[in-house]
Amino acid sequence: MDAPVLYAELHLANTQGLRCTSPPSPRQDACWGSGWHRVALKLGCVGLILLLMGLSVLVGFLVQKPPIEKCSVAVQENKTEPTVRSTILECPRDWHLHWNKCLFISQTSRPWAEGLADCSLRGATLLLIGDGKELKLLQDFSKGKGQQFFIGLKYVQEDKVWKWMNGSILNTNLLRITGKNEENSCALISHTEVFSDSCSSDNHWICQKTLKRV
Amino acid sequence: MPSSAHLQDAPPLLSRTLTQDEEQTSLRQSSSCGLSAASASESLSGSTKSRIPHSKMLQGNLPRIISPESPAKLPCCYGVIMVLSVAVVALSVALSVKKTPQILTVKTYAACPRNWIGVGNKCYYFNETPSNWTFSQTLCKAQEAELARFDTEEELNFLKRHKGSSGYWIGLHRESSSQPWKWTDNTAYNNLVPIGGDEKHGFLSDNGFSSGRGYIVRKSICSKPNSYTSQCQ
Repeated sequence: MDAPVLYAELHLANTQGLRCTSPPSPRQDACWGSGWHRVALKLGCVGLILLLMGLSVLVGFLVQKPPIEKCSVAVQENKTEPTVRSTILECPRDWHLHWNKCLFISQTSRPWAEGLADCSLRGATLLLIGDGKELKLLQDFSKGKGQQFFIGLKYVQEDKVWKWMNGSILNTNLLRITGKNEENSCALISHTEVFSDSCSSDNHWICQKTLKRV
Repeated sequence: MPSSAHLQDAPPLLSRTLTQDEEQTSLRQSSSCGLSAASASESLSGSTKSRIPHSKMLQGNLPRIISPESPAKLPCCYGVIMVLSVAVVALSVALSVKKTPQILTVKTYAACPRNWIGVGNKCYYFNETPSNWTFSQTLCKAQEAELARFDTEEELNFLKRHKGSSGYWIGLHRESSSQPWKWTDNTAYNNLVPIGGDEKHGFLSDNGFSSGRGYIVRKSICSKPNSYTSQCQ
């Protein structure tokens, strides 16, 4: 009877010990493991977010600094359709239609006499301005081009008057010449005024030819 | 003797199990024995508890070991992080490389103000607003410069290449068509290139250099000495 009693007591003590140790150990392991994983995940997410922000900033820098600046200038060419019902011949190539005239703008600068000769070669004359409306239109054209133009108006020393190339005398009510009235003076149209410049000066010029109806 | 010891050990195990069964049956049949009942209940509870924790531990461990999600996710995360890190490093390198030529460019033009072009020992500025010769000179002076001057073939060729389609006032002028040309500081012109026309104010046209009346409005070119060169001197 003594032997069985001793064995029973020993087993009970062992089982009690197991009870005490086994339940808490898995809890501790689970808590510790889950905590570590969560912290790692959070750190990973933060790291990713920081990387994305860095990328966006760098891309922004690259985009904001283009190597070459492109400047495009649009030149307005005023074209108004004539209010004429009958058919009209079109202007030749490189000429501009303004009401009943075809206008040619020279691509180079030369003295007035050379401009006159060039227009003659093209079967035209240096520009004659008929009214204030046409003058305003040409001044706007000059502004758009950023250039000045010789026209078919020259000072005649003998008569002491400005004369058009068609022989008519300038009507000072139509347009006023700014500058000297002296020999070797030719009219130069700009975006604000019509100047008296030297005929020997290099300037662009405008030729005109009248459009004929069919 | 050891063989006899083993034989002695075996019977106690068998006797233990038998004794437990007997105790259970006795408890069920009658509850008159208090002491024996208490000891029996303790042994029963101990055995059941000891078994349950084992099963719980196994069940808990299995999902952790067997689950494929966690090992699969980690490499993916690491991969993504590595890719992003490499991208950031590459972009940083690209930016640093791009900055280098900019620095060189800045150094090249450091002696001339912004929007001015350096040629030889001078800086040039193209003023696109038309004005008369005198006012053009005033505009240049406002920028500590003068209407444009050229003293060498290099400078002359630069101006010719950049003349554009309009005329630009430059710093040449004379008292009359029979007098020699001078610069705005009244130093003599070295006749590097002939000036066309019969007037008293020089300008750059698309046909070379010409002269016109000073009250005509044109664009203009300013020039000033290169400060870097002057600093060296």
